[in-house]
Amino acid sequence: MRTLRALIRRQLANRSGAAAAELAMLLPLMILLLFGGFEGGHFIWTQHKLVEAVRNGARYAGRLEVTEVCDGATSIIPPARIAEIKLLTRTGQLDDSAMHPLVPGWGDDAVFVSVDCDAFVDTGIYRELDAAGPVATVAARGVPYPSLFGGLGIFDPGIRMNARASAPVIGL
Amino acid sequence: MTQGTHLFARDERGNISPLYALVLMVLIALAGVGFDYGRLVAMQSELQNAADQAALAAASQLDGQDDAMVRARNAATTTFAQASSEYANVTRVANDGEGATVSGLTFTFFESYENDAPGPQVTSDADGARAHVVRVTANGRKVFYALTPVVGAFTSGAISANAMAMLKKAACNVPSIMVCVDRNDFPLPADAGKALRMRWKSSKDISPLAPGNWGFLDIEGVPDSQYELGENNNPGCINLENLITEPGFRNTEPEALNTRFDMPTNKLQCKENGDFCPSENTRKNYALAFTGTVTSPNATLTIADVRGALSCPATVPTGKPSWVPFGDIAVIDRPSVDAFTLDSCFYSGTCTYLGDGNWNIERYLAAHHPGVLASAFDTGSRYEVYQWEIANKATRLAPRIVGFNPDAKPQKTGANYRHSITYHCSYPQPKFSTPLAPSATQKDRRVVTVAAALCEGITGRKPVDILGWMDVLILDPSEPAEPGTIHAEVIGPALRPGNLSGFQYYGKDRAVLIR
Repeated sequence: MRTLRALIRRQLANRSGAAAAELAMLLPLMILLLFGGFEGGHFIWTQHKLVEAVRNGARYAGRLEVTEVCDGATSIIPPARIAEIKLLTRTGQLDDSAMHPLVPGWGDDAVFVSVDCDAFVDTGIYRELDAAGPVATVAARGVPYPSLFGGLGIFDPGIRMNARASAPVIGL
Repeated sequence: MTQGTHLFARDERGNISPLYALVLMVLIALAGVGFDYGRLVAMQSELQNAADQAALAAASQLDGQDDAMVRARNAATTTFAQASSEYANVTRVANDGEGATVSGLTFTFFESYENDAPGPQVTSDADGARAHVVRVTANGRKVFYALTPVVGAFTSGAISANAMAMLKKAACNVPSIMVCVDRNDFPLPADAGKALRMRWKSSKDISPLAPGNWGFLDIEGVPDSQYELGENNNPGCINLENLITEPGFRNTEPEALNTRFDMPTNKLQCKENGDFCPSENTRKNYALAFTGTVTSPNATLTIADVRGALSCPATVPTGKPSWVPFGDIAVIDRPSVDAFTLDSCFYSGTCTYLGDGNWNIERYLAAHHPGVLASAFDTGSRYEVYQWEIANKATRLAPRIVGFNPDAKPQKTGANYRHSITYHCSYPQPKFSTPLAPSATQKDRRVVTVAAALCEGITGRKPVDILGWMDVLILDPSEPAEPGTIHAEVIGPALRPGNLSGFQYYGKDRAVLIR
């Protein structure tokens, strides 16, 4: 009995290993902070990539020949061009249609390309055109967020991301 | 004291929790800086995108007209920076409560951009013609920090983005001909149908557009062929500042122009690419000579006698054609056989280089298409009549006797006279080469694209201020007496082959971002 009491007293008084115990208590918070920081940064980075991607897509669409995409107020953009814009937006290049998208899991069905004819103005360089200039809009809608630690429950893995950019079509 | 400090420093008891509590703030702040900095960068790129697109949109309006600045601001703002527009560019990251649309745009205009710096600023809207560069600033948006507030930083402060754009002008697919005009809004739709007299040589009645009102352009990289007036357009593009006037006239050029009218020479034969080929309709004031005999009770023949007795052969002698100018034919009633004439004001002397569109269509129709009224045509322009003739070549472009050189001593046999004459036939359809019909890649051979330019003060080799590109119908071949004169009719702004809009095809005004 005396030995047990002495053991408890000795254990309570023993300060060695306190660091390990305290670390064990604080570890979840640290992990949350660390991984949360990663995930948050990654989320913002992904959003940034989407913004850049739709911007590039819109700029590319804006450099198409006006006469190729519009006949007066009617859109005549060939489907192949739409596919090209989508590929460029998703992957940042045009050479390889099997290239990995900039944001993993970003498919063609989450890129929306529209070229609206007769939507801008009919002055300036469009004076020679019979209608107002076209506006190209490239949007990323419903792109699944490729979560780093979705499995840990920190971030909702089902989150979807959006971005959109519009540019006047001015030809090359 | 030293001893006490030493002991405290060596004491490792209870060290993690308070330390962590202290450091936690810093850790959160560090993670926060990383996260919030990412948001700043993301917002910056959204603002930059908005500024870029707005700058491109604004630059598209900087066409050198007086109202360019007002149009530039309105165009960019209304379409790309207004919450009510579906094309407004947005920022999703800014959470300063000002909405997603990047709306506060500031426009600054400059005259030029050289040596990595904008030139003088243009401040007055009235001076829009001088504005060539636009800077668009997407004004201060803020991010309210998510994590950094633990160290007392709450918002990012205003982040802005700016973009500078201008129009880079190039000329593409153009022939090397320019014509000087004296209005900087040329050509307007109202100018269609007006005759254009292009004179190479100086002449007092076209002053101040001296020395002449048309010239050649030197297109860099394209060697002077000496036969440019007969060639199709030059492919490829050239920056407008490299497009300079080319002084001097070459006597080879009228020959080249005339190949468009079925007047090939040994050297200038219709080529596969369309150079030197004739149009389908080559009505001109030239005829071919044939010999024939007319037996008539009249001692002096009239053209009706000749037309009644002789006809134009369907086949003509091959080889180099020997076209006879109408002026060299002894008996000819010019008004009843002439090809397209200029506007009447040129003959009365009230027009200088550009007519008013009123030409004697009645006389032309009576001469070539009796019974057809001018009211049958929409605009009554020469180009419309020209195309109408092509639509039914067999009847509307048939060969016809236009005149003859009478027999000086007709032989009298009985009651009749036997005249051995040389008579002349016009052939409004090509006989010496295959006519080239307009197609998706080939313009009508009598339609020529020329640059409308402001030429004041231009002498020698100088860059030229091109206002636009227009199509003109060449009305007749170059006459030997006036080799440098081209008679044409303005059709309108230049179209690309296949009658598609010429937008950005000849004059390319590319809005480009500078920085």
